Amino acid sequence: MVLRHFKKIIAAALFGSFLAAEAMALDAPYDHYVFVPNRNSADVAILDANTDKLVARVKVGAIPHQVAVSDALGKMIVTNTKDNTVSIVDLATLKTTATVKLGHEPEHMEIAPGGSFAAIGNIGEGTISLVSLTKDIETKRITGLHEPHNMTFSPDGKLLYVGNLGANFVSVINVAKGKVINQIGVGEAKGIAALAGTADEHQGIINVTRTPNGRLGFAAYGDGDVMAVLDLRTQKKLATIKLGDEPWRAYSTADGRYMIIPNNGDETVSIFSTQAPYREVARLKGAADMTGVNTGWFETTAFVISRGNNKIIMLDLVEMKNIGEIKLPKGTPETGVVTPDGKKLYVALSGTSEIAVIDTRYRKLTGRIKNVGKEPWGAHMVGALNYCH
Amino acid sequence: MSERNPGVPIWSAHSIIAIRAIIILALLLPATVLAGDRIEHLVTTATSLSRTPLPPLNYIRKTCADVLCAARLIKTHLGPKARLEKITHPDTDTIRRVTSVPSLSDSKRLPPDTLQFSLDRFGRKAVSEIETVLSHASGNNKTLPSNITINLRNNRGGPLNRMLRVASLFLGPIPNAIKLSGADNEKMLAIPGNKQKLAFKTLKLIVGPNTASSAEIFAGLLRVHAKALIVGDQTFGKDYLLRMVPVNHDWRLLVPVEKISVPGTVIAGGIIPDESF
Repeated sequence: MVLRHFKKIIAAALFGSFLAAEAMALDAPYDHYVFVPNRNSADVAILDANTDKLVARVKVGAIPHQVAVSDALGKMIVTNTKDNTVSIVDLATLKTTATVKLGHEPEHMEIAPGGSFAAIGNIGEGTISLVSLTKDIETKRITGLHEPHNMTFSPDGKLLYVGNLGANFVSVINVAKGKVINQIGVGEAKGIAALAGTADEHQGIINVTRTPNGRLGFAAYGDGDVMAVLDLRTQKKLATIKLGDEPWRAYSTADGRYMIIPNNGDETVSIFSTQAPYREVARLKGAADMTGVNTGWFETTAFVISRGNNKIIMLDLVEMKNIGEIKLPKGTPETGVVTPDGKKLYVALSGTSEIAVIDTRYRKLTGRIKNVGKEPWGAHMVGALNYCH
Repeated sequence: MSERNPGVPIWSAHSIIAIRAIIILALLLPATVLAGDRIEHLVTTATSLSRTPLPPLNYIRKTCADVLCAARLIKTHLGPKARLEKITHPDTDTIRRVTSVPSLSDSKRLPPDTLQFSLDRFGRKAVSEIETVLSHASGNNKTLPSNITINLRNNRGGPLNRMLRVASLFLGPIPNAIKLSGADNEKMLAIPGNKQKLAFKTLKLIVGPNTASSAEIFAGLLRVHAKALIVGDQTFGKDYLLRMVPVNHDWRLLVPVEKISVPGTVIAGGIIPDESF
């Protein structure tokens, strides 16, 4: 009995010390840390990728959704979907320097090239907030979007391409003017044969995924089973290509050779060459409810996260074939991140308080980082190919 | 040095050029394709879809200050089949968790060898739900029931492509299965063949006055290609396809584009069942 109480006290003290993160500091550069937003405990766990240990938990707003880091400014930005705010945290001190009020349901964001401001989608009200990361204020709220989901900057940062979950087109924003200046159609308008008032589930465009050189963008349209290839410098649509059923979104390999698209309707994965004529080089077996794709070990392997089957499907990107799967611990895999050197994959398991660690070379689960917080939702690293769902 | 007419001051000559330029620009502006103009995007899209003559863009711009007003005006011109609907935004957790509102209900095994279920909608996961129900009904010996009964009485329709995927489960791939007739064109749609076709002996469909649109097309396809027996009451009789045009974050315009028919049976006016229920 006494021992049990003692254990509780020790556990509470340890947890308290993690939450009192103000006393701690991170070592720059920040590219060896993994940032994990925890939806249910309203904090961000910071892990050290060198040791796979929890370093700190930083309190933020309610239902944190995505984390982004401006390495240039040494700041972490966290969207708090329920609070309609974004938290800006100084990484050197782990102190929250500002909590900026945004529009309804801010979720996804992208830091502009140079790192001085961020674009944040308020999906609940169809707007994008531009937030200065030097002044910690919202500088502009742009209207005219349709359930704005993920977004991508052009290489020079002058244009912002927004995937509209509620439409079959990509909106293009002139950042300096703070206005939508173009809408690029992707696939034909959705065909509905139903009586008035019939509930309809739609899935427009989740994201415009750019090649690492920033020149091309790939926008998959879920309801239309197609993907558009865009020139991000000129806003031109270069091609429209057919996918499997209900494609989720495109994920780029780190070398930019391929785009990998999970088709959740028919549980397949399409792999496209990013070289014209943007040919589908393989369509491989996937699994149920795929929510993320990561690539690693010199871009030889793709790891496809299946939320529905609680596992990772592995694809050989040299032979273009399925090469097995990794069963995950009990919990629900959400999204993941591969370290910038391509050697380790971290996957958030929202049903537990854990992060799964995968060795990309030996293609196996090598560890579980426990007690990172309640409902870990994603994993993000500086210098990695980050994404959010 | 350039020569000039000493009778006309230079500032005056420049002013005339400037005024002329302004007048030309003012004349051109309404017809100029301005990127990012949402009213123009709406008008262009609705016009290309419907082939119905709409008021000129200039008129719509003059009449309406915002895109929702323009959508109302266009809807009026498109006629009574067009709809302007408030969007019910999905819970975005539903999207990212790749879940769906169930399409099936009331599944049960009826003796001696029948599986019956209600297909109430063509949701994102309708195909996998049917596969799951069939898998459970197969039992340990993995034998599918010989007879399948699908209740469509509460199915008010849905996206055409999702309906075709469900039809594919029962029919396999069929080319030229549906005819879409637009104002000046016709095209045939195929039933895709991504999934393995189910094996069954008999198929019965229960329909009623609330069975509409995609559900009627579904019933027609199964009647023609799988000799499904249709029982119940006459269906609603809605046989045209609407194309969705997003207006703004909260509204969408549904433009009637094509009449849908299934070669080999009649949908217009409602499906007459083979037997009353």
